[in-house]
Amino acid sequence: MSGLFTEPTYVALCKALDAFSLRHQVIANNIANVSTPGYKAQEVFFQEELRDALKRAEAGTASSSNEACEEIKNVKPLVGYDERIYRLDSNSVDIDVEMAKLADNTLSYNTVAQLVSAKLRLLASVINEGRR
Amino acid sequence: MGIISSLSISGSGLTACRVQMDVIANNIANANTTRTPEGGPYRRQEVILEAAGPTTWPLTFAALLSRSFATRGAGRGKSPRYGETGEGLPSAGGVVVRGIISNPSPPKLVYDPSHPDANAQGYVAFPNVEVIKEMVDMIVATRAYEANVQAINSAKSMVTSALEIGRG
Repeated sequence: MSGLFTEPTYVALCKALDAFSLRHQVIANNIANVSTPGYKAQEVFFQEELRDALKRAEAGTASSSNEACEEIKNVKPLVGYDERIYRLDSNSVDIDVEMAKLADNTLSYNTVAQLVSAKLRLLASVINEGRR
Repeated sequence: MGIISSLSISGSGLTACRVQMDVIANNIANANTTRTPEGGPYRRQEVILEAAGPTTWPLTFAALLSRSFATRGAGRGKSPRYGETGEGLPSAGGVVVRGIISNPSPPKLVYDPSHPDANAQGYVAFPNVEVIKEMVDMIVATRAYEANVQAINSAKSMVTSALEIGRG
């Protein structure tokens, strides 16, 4: 039986928050270095791995939900960089793509934060109702 | 950590854009300056930018880098991923202004013997400043500044929504 905070969905949501926060740092660094010669734009990769880990968690049985959580906790976001060169100064930052990624990342982070909040509110209401 | 440290990254971007703007404004103001204290006409000034900061991402995330994904994404034209401690990763701390240098290209010579700064052959040396290029650089610096401001606003919005978790 999984504990209060070891449910796979909740663990995956917290992992996603960490990854979005790292992605924001990477995007901010790309934007700050838009004029630096020779700078290569960086990216964070984690969504496919997280999705695979979640699929494995859903396909598993209740007795293995702890392993499922461990698998989700082991998903590591990865920072890599893109070799494409757009400009004469060997800088590969595409400012339009970075701004779009910034907006998308902010929305995703805010959405996941709301989902985590909703989950905790659910727990809180269960605890409160159980008191009566 | 995380989003809070991204504020200092974006702050360094704002500083770099502001320095660029100052240098551009100085270049435009001195586009026709034929004499300087050190002799000769004004020379176009340029900013040297460098990606700055520690060479690995913060330790909490450096520990998150995974070796096992090194072969993925190879078909998308991306470079291989980096190892667990993030060795060899590019810098993670924003941008730093390394210095302001004078462009060494030769000044523009204009024939005008009546000018007080004309040389023996009657040529006046004007600065090597192209005002059109300075205007284009100014647009680039302005847009980069706005992009950095947007990054800061997004960080603030994310932190605010994180603070809402567990409230109510």
